[in-house]
Amino acid sequence: MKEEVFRLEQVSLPPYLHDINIHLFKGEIVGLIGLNALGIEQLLTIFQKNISLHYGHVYCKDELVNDYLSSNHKQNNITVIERKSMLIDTLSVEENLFILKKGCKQHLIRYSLLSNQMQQLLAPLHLKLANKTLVAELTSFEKLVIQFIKAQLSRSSMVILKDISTFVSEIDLAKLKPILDYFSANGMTFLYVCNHHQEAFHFSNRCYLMREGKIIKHLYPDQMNDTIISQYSYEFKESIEEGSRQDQYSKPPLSSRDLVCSNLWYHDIKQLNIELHAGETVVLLDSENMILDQLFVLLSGVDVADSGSLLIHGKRPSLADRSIALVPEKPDQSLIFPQLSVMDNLLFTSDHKVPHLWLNRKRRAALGYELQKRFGNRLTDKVPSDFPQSYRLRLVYQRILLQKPTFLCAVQPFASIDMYQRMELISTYDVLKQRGTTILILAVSLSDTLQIADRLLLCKNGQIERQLLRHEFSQYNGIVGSRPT
Amino acid sequence: MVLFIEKPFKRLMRIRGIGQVLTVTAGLVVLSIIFGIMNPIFFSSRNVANLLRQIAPILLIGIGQSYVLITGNIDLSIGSVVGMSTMISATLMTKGINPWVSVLITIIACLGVGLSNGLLVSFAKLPPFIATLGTMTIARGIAQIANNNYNTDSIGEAAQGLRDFFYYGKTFGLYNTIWIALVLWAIFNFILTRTKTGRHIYAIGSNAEAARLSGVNLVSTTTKAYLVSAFVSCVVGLITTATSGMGTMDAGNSYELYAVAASVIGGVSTLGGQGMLFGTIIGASIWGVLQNGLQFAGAPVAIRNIVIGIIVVISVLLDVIVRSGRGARKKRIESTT
Repeated sequence: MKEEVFRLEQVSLPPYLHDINIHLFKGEIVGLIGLNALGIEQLLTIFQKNISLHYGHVYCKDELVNDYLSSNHKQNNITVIERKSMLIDTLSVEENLFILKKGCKQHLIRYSLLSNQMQQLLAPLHLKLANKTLVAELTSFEKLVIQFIKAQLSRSSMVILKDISTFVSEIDLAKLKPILDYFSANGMTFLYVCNHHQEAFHFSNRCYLMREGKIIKHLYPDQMNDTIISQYSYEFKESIEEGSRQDQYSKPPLSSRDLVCSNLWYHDIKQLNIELHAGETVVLLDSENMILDQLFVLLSGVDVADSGSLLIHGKRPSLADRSIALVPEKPDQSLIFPQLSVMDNLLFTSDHKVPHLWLNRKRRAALGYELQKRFGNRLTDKVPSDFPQSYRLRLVYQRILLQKPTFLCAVQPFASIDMYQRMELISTYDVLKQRGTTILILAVSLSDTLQIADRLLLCKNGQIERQLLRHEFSQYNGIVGSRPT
Repeated sequence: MVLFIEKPFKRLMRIRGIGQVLTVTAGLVVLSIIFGIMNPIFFSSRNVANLLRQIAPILLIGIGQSYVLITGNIDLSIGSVVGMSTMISATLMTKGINPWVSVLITIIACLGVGLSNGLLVSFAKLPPFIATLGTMTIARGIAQIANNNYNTDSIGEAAQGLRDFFYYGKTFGLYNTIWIALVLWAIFNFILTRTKTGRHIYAIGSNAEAARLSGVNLVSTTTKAYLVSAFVSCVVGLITTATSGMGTMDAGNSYELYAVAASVIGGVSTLGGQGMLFGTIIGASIWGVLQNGLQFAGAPVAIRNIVIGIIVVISVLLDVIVRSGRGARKKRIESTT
């Protein structure tokens, strides 16, 4: 008989959630796909904490823990695993697993005993770690597995996996399935939260599809296919498959080269050779998640390579050069100046285009008039970090459009954003493409990057292993992401 | 064409940190009225002129500290640079060197400390607290060895022009000290609000990584902020020399704390990215009014320090509460998307 772990009945929390009915059984892996982001955070909060509800009931292991009449605001025993790890980097794996947990009564730490216990837990997972390994030395994937074990040791009712494809590489994602199956066979329940149906279908036993704070479809295994999902994501499909936007890709590249990277050696980068022609969009897929950060460091000019050369527009990269724009991961957070106004944020890198920009209030007013159409009356508002993610993302990319760079490098631009934001971002990249901007996208998982790419470079062991042109993209068999038709 | 121009009051209210500035301005007015009622001499023209002259040095070091705080750092060497400036300038003048040449040498020496602070913090990436604690001790040491561990003799009649320029002289009925503070305030306020450098200073304090990726040179911008701090501290040192007519080794003691007080009371955030120099004027004025008013009320120095300390703690607490409240709001709004 199935054992129920969590049940949400008619849960409403306007304006975020409306009449949510979800049930999760022991040992299940259930997908939650957000077509848009509205309500996802609130739903996850309701799982974690018994907050006040507008209406509805929440049951945990058949016991009513929260309802609209009374909420005790207590935490439920749920583990959330996301990009920011809950492990302490400066402590060893053993300490994280056995010392940093509720109910640990040992005052004297016996490392040999803890190490033995750790090895016993790791053995069935085929994961080998030396005793007393610091968490800081682990890969993203190893951290992920250690968090599963920690959740198991703390007897979590459920584990929520949130956007893990944004920090776990394609290769590691492929290794994850048997591990999830092992834990679910041992009674652990998973809620797999992501934005891509391909990813959720790969891991889950069944899925919930959510839009505008409502569960719009409950997909059983036989319904988890592209045909069914296309009925709910037709706007996305129509938007990206539009003929004129597809035509702008696959055009023969110009002869001039904007990025030349030859025989580059730097930490894990081993003899990397890349050439980007003017106006080209190239995705560099680092399926092992080894070199992205290092390449980004070199492109930002913070450090120089051990050997080889990296030239943008024939020169060494320099961030002072406004013809180069770098977009790190999650730019809606990392590229926002929280204490500056929306207007200042927008114009921050446009001072090379408009002389005396900060001195001349009339020029700024004229620009403000133009930007008001897109950003409404919030231009002079403070704290843009308070605004919705979609607004902040639009703000960052508008800043780049105003800057008019000729070379742009973005890290995982489609990570952790919903379908509508992805549609908007694709059209922004189309505009950049039309302007002739050379674009390099660094990714550990493809997401929708192929929709805007002319070429895909597959990287392995710190060097380019293979290259695929747009008409060959279907040859790449990744877990996450859409492909151009 | 309808230009994107707001009504002045609406625009004023949208300025970052204006709420705290208006609150402390109201506090300043209330304090002044209370002290005025307690002792009518408080509002006498002579006391007001002296009060303004007392406020001027605090305003100047407040400007320097504000610049540094807005970048998200701190400068603990301000007081020692004041002492160093006093001792170097006075020693040189007592040795017969032309007062204005002495001033020039002093400025260069103090800017050296500012440059070191900037490079240690931004280039060598030392924690600003530690780096400026080190330079604070070094600068104080330089102040002490400048005249072989002795205070200097009188700088003499030859430096009378300098004394008039920095302290005793009056222009348009106001002491020159006040004019110096106001002119420097106007210049540095202009730089902070109307130039690219100013925008970069705010950007670094707001999100250093985003600023770096947007092409801002963190090293040079942070160093500029420390140079401003060293320069205004140097000017305060010169004012001190002009005031006393000699160099004293312990000049400027605890000034770094007064500078923090003036900035923080005036709404400059200790967490960086926020604040305006108008607030620093108010912060310095509150400091001056409290000192002056409590003195009239017969309060001992200890009580004055306790009162100012409490006000500083409350100001920082308010800043932290406002920021954490904003954080909570951010989470709420984010979760709506």
